[in-house]
Amino acid sequence: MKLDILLLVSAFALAFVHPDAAQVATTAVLVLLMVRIERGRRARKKKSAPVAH
Amino acid sequence: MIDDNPLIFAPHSITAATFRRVLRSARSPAFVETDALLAALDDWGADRAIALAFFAKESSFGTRGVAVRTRNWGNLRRGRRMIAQTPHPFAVYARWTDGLNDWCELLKEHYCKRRGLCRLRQILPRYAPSSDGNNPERYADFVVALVRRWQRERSNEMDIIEIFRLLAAGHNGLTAVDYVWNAVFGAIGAATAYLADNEGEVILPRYDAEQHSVELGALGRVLVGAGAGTLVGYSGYVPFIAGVVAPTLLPALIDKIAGFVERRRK
Repeated sequence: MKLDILLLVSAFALAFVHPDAAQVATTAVLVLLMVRIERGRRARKKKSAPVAH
Repeated sequence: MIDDNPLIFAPHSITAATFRRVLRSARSPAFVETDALLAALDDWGADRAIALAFFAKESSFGTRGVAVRTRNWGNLRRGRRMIAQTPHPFAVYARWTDGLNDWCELLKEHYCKRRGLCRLRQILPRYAPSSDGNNPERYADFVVALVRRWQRERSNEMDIIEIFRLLAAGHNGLTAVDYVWNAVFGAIGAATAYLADNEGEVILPRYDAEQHSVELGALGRVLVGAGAGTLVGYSGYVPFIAGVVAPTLLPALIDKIAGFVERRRK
């Protein structure tokens, strides 16, 4: 998680140097968020699934 | 979309790739001369789509009727480049390109320049008169409908050469510094994908010879992402996306190739 934040902060920091970096950093946020949401959804589904005895 | 009564000598309504694809899929005997045909149409300034639609109407692209033997693009009776005449009479040509050149000359010099008949529906009553059993209006409708169909299909086609051209176009105007930035964006893409979905993956690249499986690891992913970002050539989020996608596809590709080689060896 710390690495994610470090990556995103660095990407946004690059926006001061290159105009396209902001666009890239925003896309990175979206990719990370989407994967995290999907993973959380799957984990919740697994948790709530009935246990077979 | 093409006009209902288009000029014959006008900018091309379809791409050279569409022209080529249509001839190839119709199994036209003229396909082998495609480059020469395209060059001839450029020289005369004729719309290649209309010329091709005439070819379709006259002989189903050289696959039906007398044109199979005469190599006569527009089923002309005579022309400067003919080498003989059939008893019907139709001109006989050594090459399809000669027949096309005569077709262009007839329409440009005789109809357009001399008589001022430059549009499709002006030309057809003379080119294919009712007295010969033709229906000029239906002929024109056929030509226009066919050209429009090719124009609609154009957006769906992706010739492999066009893909390379598109990729090459992205590299236009990029400086050395831009390529460095694209490598950085590609690497960020790869790092994002790695952080988003790494299941105990290693740092350094690894290859399992027994399973034919490749693990790029964090470092490998970043390097592959940087390479992909540089190769795509476009700026902004495109190298980033390349950086996300390439490290995922590359191991799968290597696995496939290794598996294929192994099977061949056995």
